[in-house]
Amino acid sequence: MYNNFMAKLKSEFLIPYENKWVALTPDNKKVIASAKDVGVLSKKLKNLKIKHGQAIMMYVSPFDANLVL
Amino acid sequence: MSQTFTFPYHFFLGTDLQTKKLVDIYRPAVPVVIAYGSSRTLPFYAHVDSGADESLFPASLAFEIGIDLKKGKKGKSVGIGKIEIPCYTHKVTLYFYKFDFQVEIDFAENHQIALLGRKGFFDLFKRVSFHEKKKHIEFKI
Repeated sequence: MYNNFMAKLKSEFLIPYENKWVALTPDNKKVIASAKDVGVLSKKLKNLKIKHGQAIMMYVSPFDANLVL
Repeated sequence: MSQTFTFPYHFFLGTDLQTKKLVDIYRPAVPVVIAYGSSRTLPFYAHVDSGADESLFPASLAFEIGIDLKKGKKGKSVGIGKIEIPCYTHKVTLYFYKFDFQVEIDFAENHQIALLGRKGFFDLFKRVSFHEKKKHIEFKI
């Protein structure tokens, strides 16, 4: 589950976004926008005129807890 | 004719419980879109959760596509902490990979993580296989 061998974390850019929804660029490397709620995030993306294929949204789950779903 | 396709696990950020350092964590989450009528969400990652009886999404996603949340069938979901979450079931179109499916999804307020459960997701496929070493999930339809 964990990958301890990466010098730089792939997900490091998510550090400011714990417990938030973010919209990533399609290459998953940058955050376009963020919000506490996915509905608010969607509205932000509409205002930015982001279309399908230009972003993908994800919830940045808490860093200090394992997910038991 | 059956078809097999794979998705890599998606990266998340977590804490290594031994070292307390932040680490990359890879989880089986796949990009999906949901639609209701002519309205659809932007793509988002949803967790493929074999422990979930049904799919459970944040209510905000329902609002986003014009669903009147409380007109759905009322129910409740119970997680591992035995906390009951009131939820409302609605029929939506789920877009995943090259396919679209008519499925029922539970929507809950105060719930943030999109979960794809066995009814309405796993049961769409002949087989769903988790490959922990390779960090990918394989679907056979």
